[in-house]
Amino acid sequence: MDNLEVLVFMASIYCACRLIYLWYKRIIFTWLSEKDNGIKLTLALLPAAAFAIILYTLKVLASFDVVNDPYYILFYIFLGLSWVFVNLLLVFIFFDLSWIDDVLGNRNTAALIAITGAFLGLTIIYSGANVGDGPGWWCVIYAAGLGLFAWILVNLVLNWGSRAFERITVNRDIHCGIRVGAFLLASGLILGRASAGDWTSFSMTVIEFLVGWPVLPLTLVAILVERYYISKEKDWERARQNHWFGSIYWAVLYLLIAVFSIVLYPLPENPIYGIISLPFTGV
Amino acid sequence: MRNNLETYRIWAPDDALWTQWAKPVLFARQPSITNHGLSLPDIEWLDYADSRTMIIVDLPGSKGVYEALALARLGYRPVPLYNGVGAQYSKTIVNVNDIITALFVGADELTKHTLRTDAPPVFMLDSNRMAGGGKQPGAYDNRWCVFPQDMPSAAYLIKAGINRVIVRSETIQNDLAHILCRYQKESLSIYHSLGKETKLISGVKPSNFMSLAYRFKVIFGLTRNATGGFGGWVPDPTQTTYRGYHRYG
Repeated sequence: MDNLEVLVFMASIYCACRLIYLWYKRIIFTWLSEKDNGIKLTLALLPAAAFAIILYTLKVLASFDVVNDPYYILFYIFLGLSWVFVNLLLVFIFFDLSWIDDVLGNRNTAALIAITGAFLGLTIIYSGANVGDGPGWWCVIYAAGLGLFAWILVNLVLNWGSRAFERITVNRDIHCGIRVGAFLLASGLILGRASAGDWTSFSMTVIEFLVGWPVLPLTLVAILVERYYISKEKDWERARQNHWFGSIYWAVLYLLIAVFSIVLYPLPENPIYGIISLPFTGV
Repeated sequence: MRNNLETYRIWAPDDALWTQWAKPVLFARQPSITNHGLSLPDIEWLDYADSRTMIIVDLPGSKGVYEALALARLGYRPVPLYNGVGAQYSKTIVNVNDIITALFVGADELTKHTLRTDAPPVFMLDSNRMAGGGKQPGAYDNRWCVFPQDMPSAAYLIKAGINRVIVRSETIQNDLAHILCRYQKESLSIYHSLGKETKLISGVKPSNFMSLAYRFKVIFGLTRNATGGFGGWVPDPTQTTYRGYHRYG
């Protein structure tokens, strides 16, 4: 590790530990009734899930000089956890989704599902950026930054077309929470794949990022789905119908589209990618 | 005297329709004075509980609690939305001690009324919530705001059969205007009461209305509390001791 890497490592350790401490402190001390324990449990498990996803990626799919180096694995784990927690602030700024206010403060289950999707989506974008060989941590941040930028953009487009985030936080529409939570995760999967790959140059990273194009039709589908449900909500009699089945159906479909679009473009060169895609493609 | 949770349960029983909006923040600690008498005002601006009318009481300090309790006599369900934490032995920017006392003493009064689980709601706010200027170094900043996420949506109110909202306050504050404008957009009628009569008002769209960044911008200027709600020490530049100052997250 060079001096800059040591500095980034130290900053990441401080940032990750501090933010994780604040995360659990709020979960533990916020006064919720026993029936809201599920909220606390879900939030408590999210950092563990992020840790597991990042660790798996680093051990199996990361650069050849990282997979067997425990210091670099630790380095990228702390960097990744800092990345996820800091970017939750962007989720609040751009999507008006707050794990503190909506989930813990207002006990909003719809927001819990959306925040879960956003948390995992952010984790997968960062993990995707770790896939492939590269010269340093900065190319991971660059590729993940591209993914993050596109992820925020497509979700803002979704909100522009459907006011989805207002329906989650103000209307507490749990069905909308399921669909949008799945979209946040699915778009994270597609853009995580787009951020993956061996490093060649800044401009080539942008060109290779274009394999994330399936996120555009997925966004269009999600807008149409949300507008369909908005039109149903205006009909008060029909609004009494149960949307659980339909919402779960759409959520699963978004995730299947995301998985399909990942399999559609297997990563070249590294033989491990072939092993990963073998169960899906049979090739 | 009842403990904190028991008192909170009286104000926010599990089976009441509006409990999901109640805030437990001011029930976290018991008041220092408990032999405080209650003098409830006469409600001159409303004769009976109308199941199609929701009320928002936005009055200073304990006045809001007393007004809500007087409305409970008519059949309304009081829902505390107070979100600023109190600090017992310190100078706070917003004084909430009299509200805490009124809530704990008023719980006895509330148990006297048999309210329906779907009784129309009266949401309680403190009009002093943003009083005191800005952050004062060394003070306990417990200013807070009410956001559209803190109250039922227009769609929920319409589903619950409510088509009229009365705001009992001296003025309509900017944060409340964000909520009322949303209601008006969905064709709910908004009335304002100064204490004698009610009059229909037309909403003026506040700045940043429906903006995704509105809540972040407002919260950025406040101080969160680690246990929920708002309240925390504003660091004094002359002191070096860190006392848990968390603005956002």
